[in-house]
Amino acid sequence: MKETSCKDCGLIIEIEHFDMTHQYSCPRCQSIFYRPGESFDLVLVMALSAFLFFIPTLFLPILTLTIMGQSHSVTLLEAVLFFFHDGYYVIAIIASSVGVFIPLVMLFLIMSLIIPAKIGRPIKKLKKLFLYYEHLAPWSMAEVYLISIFVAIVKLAGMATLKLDAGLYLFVFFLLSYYVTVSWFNAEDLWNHYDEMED
Amino acid sequence: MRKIYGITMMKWKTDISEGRVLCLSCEELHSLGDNECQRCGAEIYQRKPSSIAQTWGYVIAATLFLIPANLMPMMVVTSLGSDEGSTIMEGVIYFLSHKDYGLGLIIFIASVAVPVFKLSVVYYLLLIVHLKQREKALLGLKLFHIIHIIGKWSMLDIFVVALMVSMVQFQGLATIQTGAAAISFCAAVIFTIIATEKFDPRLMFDN
Repeated sequence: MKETSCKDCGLIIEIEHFDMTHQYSCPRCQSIFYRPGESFDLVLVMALSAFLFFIPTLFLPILTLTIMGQSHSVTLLEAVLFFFHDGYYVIAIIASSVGVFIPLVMLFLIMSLIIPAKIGRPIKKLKKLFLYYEHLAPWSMAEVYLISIFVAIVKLAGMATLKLDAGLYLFVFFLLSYYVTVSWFNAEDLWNHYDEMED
Repeated sequence: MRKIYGITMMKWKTDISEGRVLCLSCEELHSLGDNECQRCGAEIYQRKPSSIAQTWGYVIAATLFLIPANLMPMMVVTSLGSDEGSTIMEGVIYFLSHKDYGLGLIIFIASVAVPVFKLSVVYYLLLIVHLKQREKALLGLKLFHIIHIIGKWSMLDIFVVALMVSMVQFQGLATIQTGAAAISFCAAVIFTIIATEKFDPRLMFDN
């Protein structure tokens, strides 16, 4: 027996036998209030692979540009640092945090939420991490960043000769596996998991 | 008893009528009077505090920022000494004139159509609450879900400009700089996202 209330219209909903593998929607406003996530093991594997994709991108060049015989290759770290050279701090901070820092922090938070749940540690210490996760979740925009990489490459191709390097492919894989991790992870399941453990 | 679409229905049981409080972080139901969720430790309230006032504030700020964002150059390309600024619409026209209809359309939708649509929806939602239009609540909620999903896509153009600025760094030959529109556009998008976060859709159903 699970009692909850619809986030979107406030209706009180009683579910006789709550099943974590089913999707539930509100009888009054039809909005989905529970969507099952993938198993924690799968999420953990995806999060770890995202980390593995990220480490080499720091050192490998992401692309080489040639304008009038002069070529120049950029690594991700250089690109992020270059943001801060020109004094466009606001844009620089937003673009680099959405593309790099928020994904890394989110992956770290997801892993540190799942691993204790798997080994059955108490929740008390996890409350803070969970709240950080909830506050950060709306700012996770990896899918938008992926498309903007594609658009930027098409735009640059019109101005200079471009050679895409290994770092860019790895970075795209990093964003993709991060996106999969976030969409598979259902933070609410964490609490259902602990509730089931108590029963 | 209330009338919806001419049909008399039983009054629904809601969190307000039953005196319950829902935690928006972990979705645990509490009784009235608690200030903190016992399960996850988040602050809890029946309706988001000063939701309508905050939504108005952010949505008006976003509208004001959208004006310079569309009139000023988004990015300035300097190549061999000549400066060339381009606004959002000029960027769209660039892709259309180069027969890149797909990309032109994506940028037009993401940076012109979507921000305007989102702001109009937020104004509409606020009017539903203010004018107590209970029968419009279901439509309002659908629109609210839509702007929630497409909200972040307006950041697309900002990221494109930022990526290009960081990748093209030829001293003397060619540089790309962000224009004045980039920051105002960024502010408009972020304020719209905050406005939708602050809006509590349950207020539409309470009337």
